[in-house]
Parts: sequence; structure tokens; C-alpha cells
Amino acid sequence: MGHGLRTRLSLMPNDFETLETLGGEDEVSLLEILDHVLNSGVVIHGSLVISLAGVDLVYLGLNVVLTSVETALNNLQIEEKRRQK
Amino acid sequence: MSRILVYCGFCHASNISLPSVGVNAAPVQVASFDNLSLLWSEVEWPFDPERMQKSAVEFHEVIHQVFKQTAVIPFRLLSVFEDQPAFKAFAAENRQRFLQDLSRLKDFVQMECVIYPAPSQTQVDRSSGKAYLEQKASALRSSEASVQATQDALAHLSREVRVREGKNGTRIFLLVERGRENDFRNAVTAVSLPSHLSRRMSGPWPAAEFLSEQVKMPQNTGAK
Repeated sequence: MGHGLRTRLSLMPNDFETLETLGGEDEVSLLEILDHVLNSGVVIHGSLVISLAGVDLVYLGLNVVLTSVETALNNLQIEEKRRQK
Repeated sequence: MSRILVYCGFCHASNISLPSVGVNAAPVQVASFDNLSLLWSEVEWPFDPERMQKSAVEFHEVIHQVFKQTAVIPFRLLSVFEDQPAFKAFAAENRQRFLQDLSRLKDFVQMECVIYPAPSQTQVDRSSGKAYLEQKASALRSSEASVQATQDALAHLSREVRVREGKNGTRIFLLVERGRENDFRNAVTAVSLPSHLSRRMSGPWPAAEFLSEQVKMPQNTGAK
């Protein structure tokens, strides 16, 4: 799955290019959104949370962030398969 | 297979407009536990990595639509409940703690300022090891002074402050009264920075950094 994801990401603009969201009222960067939705808030299952040794995602490049997402999703799938057996 | 994805919790109020569609076009539903409302969707699990970015933005938009109107407790994207009973058991167990945090944070938002080195501005002194270390120490002192100056400039706006040192900079989180976001931006902008440092501001965000530990990592047995 990784190859397809990286190919798509290579088309992404700069990490901090802003996305217009919510009807253009607020501008926030994609990386900041990723950082907040993955790193902030209630943890209801610790093993699924993406953590890069406590490093905030906002400090990292987008490819690194999404590679970590990709790894987490891979791990999830492995876990799901193990549970189904 | 499907799972229960929870977006956020908030205090119930009849005038709050709720989003109808969430991640991957799943209908957003509201579950009420006394005065606590939780928004959730039934989603296919695990998420498709090909649309991970889109899912993250959709997740953010659901939370943000409610957050624009009232204080929320956001959940993390890659956390799901296995089924409805697990979700309801979680809510019953944690409802009171969620309501306490929502009451404490109801008038506040989280604003952030990151102060980080501007690499292109810094010429590394390689003339000797001593010169290199002195330069590093000087840059560190200067960064610490700028972080402190920023905190001082924001003291009158901040209900609480958290500072987190990162490998590539210092991140300052402030709990600011809702409606005073521009005061925050103006106060930060008024602090001059040396040329080797840059900063970035963001917010308003839900006050996730200021949640109590019991709410950030609640005890539960049903989540997957």
C-alpha cells in the first residue's frame, strides 16, 4: 500500500501551504490539522495512536507524517487479522 | 468491518448546529448521556490509507463546526470503539469527568505559537569546536529569551500556559478566552524576534492540551 500513498503524496504542495476549510473562514495548514487530529485529544486505545517518540507531528515533514500513518495502518491491519483468527 | 468513530464531546444545547456528514461521507450521529453529547459515525475500519489526508480533514471539520459554537473535547482520529455497547460503556464511565473539563474550559480556546530556528538565516561557525559550541549556546540563550518574552507578552491573556520543547523549536500553548484570539495574535506579533528565529501562530483550537489527564487517557475496556 505504501507505494501508492507516496505517489499521491508527491503531488502535494508544500507542507505548510494552507487549506481553506469551513467555507473559507479559517485557514489552517494540512500539517497542523494532521498534528491535531492525530496528536491531540482523547486517547481511547493507546496502541492505535501515532506517536513518534513524543515528537510533535507539526515539526516533521508531511511525508514523514504520512509514512507514520501508513505504518500505523499496516499495524492495524495486522492486528485485525490476528484478532479474526 | 465497521467501527464506531467518535469525533468530540460537548455540553448539550439545543441551539448548536451539528454537522450531518463526517469521515468518508458517513452520517454524523449524536449520542446523549445526560448533559454530555458525543458525535460519532459508523465507519469502515481500518481506514483506507489512500484517503487518509481527506479523512483527517473531514474529521477536523466535524469537530471544528461544533467548536466554533461551544467548547469541545476532541477525540483522536485513529481511535475507534468496537461496537455500540463499548461506546456506551465508555461514555457512562467517563461522562462526569468530561462534563467537569467542559465546564472548566467552556469559555476558552487554545492558541499556539511555535518559535523555531530559521535555518537559512544561520551561518554555522566552523572555525573551531569552541566557536561552534559558543554559537550554539548563544542561539539557545536567545531562543529561551524570545520564548520568555513571548510568554510575558501574553501573560495578561493566558489562563494557563504549557511550553513544550521540541527538537526543532519550542511550542507554546495558551488557554485564551474565546473572542480574544486577535489580542493573542497582536501580542505575539509585537514581540520582536532575532533574525535567526522564526515563529508560527495557529488557533483557535479546542483546548486539548489543557484537558485533565483522566480525560486525555480515560480508563476503558471496550475501545479497539
